[in-house]
Amino acid sequence: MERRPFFVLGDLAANTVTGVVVAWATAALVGAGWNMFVGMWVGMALGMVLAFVLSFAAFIWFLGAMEVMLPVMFTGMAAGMVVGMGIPMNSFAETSLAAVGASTGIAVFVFTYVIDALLGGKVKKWTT
Amino acid sequence: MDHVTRAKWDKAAATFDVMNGRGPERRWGPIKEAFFSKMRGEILFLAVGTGLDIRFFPPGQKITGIDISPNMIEKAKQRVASYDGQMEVRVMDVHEMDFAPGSFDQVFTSCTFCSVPNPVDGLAALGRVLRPGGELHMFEHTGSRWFPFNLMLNVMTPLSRRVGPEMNRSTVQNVARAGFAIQEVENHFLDVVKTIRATVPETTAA
Repeated sequence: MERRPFFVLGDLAANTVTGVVVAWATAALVGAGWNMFVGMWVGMALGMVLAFVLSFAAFIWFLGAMEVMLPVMFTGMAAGMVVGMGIPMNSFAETSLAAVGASTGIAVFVFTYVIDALLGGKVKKWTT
Repeated sequence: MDHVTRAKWDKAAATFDVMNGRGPERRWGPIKEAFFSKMRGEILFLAVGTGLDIRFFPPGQKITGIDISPNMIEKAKQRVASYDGQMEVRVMDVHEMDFAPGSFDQVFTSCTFCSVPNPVDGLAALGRVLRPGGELHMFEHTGSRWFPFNLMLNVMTPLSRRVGPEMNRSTVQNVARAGFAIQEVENHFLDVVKTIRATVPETTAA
């Protein structure tokens, strides 16, 4: 598992920023009158694409390739899903979008580090 | 010679260092240093690229590097020349290597088999140029068995393969399919970035 402060803080920042950007972008696209499921799928797709672009435009120069792209795309998908569903359901105010996006990014960051710690090291069985 | 693959990597050579240099090399530097420290004997390094990995090679080794792309080799020349040991590089397709069977003690690859068009054939070709008992050392990124990471890798692959690698390959399985005996697999990021050590069986070539 990654322990160097530059990368740990960088991963945290990348996921947090991505969550906020995707939350704002999804809210700008998905309207209150949308069907909840349509909003969810649109948000997920938009989030993944935006996260992919953000990774290439900014994060990989500093933080690596897979190690930043995978969690950031997961953050994009999750933040897009949450906001894409939430806007039609009036689940949260527009002022809390940044908090929702940032929390999603932090949750994905923690999730990725936990899974990485569980999978890391020598393995006896492999499928990939 | 696979001209489609050569053209793809010739085109990628111009921006390869920008895309792969700073972030990934800083991230993977310590792992690569430990990985390449196992170099011994006659060594084949597959897919030299622009030579970014050469700085991690231990000094004093005898290394033959190949790459399918002349543009990549051209960019690598300065790094090859600065290596503190014997190193030569040649333009060659892994599927059409002209080395005699059993020429090498070890083969090293670094993020290579995400890009070789026919990975099992390419790995089998490496088995032929290794001596019986010879070692294959790979630092590779592969697909993942875990959701949501496998979803991300599958989504990225149709786009990434146009300009470079595939993200969802089952490289460890491919190594076994090519006839190698897997000795060790170590995950370095999730089950995606990993090192693989395999050997050619003593009795039969891979």
